[in-house]
Amino acid sequence: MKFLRKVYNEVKGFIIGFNQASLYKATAQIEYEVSEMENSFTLMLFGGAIGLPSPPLPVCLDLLPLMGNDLERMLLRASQTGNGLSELASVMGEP
Amino acid sequence: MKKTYIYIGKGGVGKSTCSSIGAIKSVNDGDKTLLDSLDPAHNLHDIFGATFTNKPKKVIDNLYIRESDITKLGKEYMKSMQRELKGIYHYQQALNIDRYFSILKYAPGTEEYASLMALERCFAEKKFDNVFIDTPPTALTMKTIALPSVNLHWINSLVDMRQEIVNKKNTIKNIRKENTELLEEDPIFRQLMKMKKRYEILNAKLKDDAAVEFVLILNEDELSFSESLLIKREMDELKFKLHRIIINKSTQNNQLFYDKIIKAFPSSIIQHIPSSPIQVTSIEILKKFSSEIKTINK
Repeated sequence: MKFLRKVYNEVKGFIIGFNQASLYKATAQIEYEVSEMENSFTLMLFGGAIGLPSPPLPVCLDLLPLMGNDLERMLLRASQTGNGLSELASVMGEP
Repeated sequence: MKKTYIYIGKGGVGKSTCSSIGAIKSVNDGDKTLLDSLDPAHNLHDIFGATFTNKPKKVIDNLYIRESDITKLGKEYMKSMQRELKGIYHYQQALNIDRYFSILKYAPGTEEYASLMALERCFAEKKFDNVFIDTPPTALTMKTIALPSVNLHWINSLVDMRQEIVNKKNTIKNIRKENTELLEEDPIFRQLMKMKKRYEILNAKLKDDAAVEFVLILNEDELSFSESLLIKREMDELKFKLHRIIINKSTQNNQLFYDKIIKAFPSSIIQHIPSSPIQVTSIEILKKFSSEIKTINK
């Protein structure tokens, strides 16, 4: 009886974990899309520094206090531009 | 009802003189009046024979004059941003916030934004019945009054983008059965909506005939007329109305020129102030000129 209960709990844990992993996998592509959209949003605001058309300065400065994390992400992304395709492949290429 | 009169035109046509005359007429009508110069090359101290600062100064009963220091307003804005950002980005030594801001004050757009803040300050004045604004020469003034529309154009695009980002994040949270976030809970979206409201109010104010009157000053010469046509074209593109045209230093007998003006500005009231050898250097002379303004078209 104890053995059966143990088996039941293990199988239940496995199914819950498998379910959660599936949910995360299902959202991986959307997460990648969100990450790219956030990066584009940050670039739209602060791309003036690299010659891209950007909003008037006060629009950018008024949002700057709220965009600390986004700026860090953009700087990190900029250092990884060479690996963009491999990152895309790792998200899209999984079975 | 409180009204703001914005005097625009080519450099040297007499915007300071005409706005001073307008202010004196307003005082004569019994209205508490503020005359504010937004032109970095202030002239009001020459006209009124007194020094003025960034704070309204009483000159005579019901007349207050201010020479807005646009550079100072710009510096104060940058300082307040610097203080706010230093606290947030203190760990980002590599960003070197101080050096970034020392360069920023020369960035394109800073001067017109400071000018817009001075204009906003005039609109917010509650103590005065009428406010008369002497503006800088055409280029800076047109960029300043266009700024709310330009900013709104960008902010609307940013709002749409941010809405999509939050919706996609909520899609992920729905799938994972996590708590979703309301759009209004996103701090960046909230800030964008606050900015949108501010510029919408400013834009609506500039288009409100009951609250704001644009007065274009020109002289009886082709250069002045040509630039006035360019100003009209830009105002039309921004959907702002030119309510009144004043021909300053008029010879009073140039009907051909007046007909040209009436044809070019069909929906504006056309007035003229006669030319005079008298230098405008006192309130008495301004009062004399205010009684000599004549309307050409009815």
